[in-house]
Amino acid sequence: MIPIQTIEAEQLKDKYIFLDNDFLGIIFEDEELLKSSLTFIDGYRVIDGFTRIEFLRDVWLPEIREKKEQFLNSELFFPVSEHQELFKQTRENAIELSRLYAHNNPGRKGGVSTVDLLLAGTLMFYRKSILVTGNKKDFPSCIFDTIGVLNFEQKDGHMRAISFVQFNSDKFEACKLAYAQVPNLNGAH
Amino acid sequence: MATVYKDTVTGRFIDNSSPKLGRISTAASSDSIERLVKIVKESKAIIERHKNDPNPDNRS
Repeated sequence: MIPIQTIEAEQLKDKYIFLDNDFLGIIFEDEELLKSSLTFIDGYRVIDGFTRIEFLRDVWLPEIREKKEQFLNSELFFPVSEHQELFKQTRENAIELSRLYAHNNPGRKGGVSTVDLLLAGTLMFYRKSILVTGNKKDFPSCIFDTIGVLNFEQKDGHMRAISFVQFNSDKFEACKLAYAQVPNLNGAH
Repeated sequence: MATVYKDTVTGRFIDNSSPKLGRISTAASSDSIERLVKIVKESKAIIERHKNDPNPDNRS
């Protein structure tokens, strides 16, 4: 167990700050948290294209869908570049990460969702980026560092933690090395 | 080392090291936040209105 440091707003300045669907869902329902967290997160707030799909999907009421679109189109959220070369790289990163996740957590059922894998692949591409997520377990500590946590009390009285997660290239290389040393059934490495 | 791609659609360069903010301010202005708060409140009002909808499919 590693104690998590309190994050300072200064650490987020001039960085790509990706907001995941879980976090967007929370601030879409809690205006107080929305105000305080978006004031605190003073960086280049980015919403990935796949996160956008997750946030907008499965909405039954057209009026709510409209509100969600207005929400995403706020000037507080910056567009992320969508480029074919970038997607190719992200996809390759995601595949590589999924192998390493499986190797490091073989007992986990279901695995990480495709969207979270692609988001992790994006974080790997933008090396100095930070992800704000309420779903830390999909960004495992074998590869990602939790650089801070934002705790808040929900309306029902439960405490909830939002993690600030960053890709760690040293951890990634160590996992890759460990994976490469797994013997295959043919006896070769 | 930074990787830079040229976006063939917009002609802009994509740099993975850090955002090139230029003169863009990332500080959340109170006006922008208030606009988001308004959207959240309106969305809650819509959900509340639909809670009593006779068609259960329209309640969420």
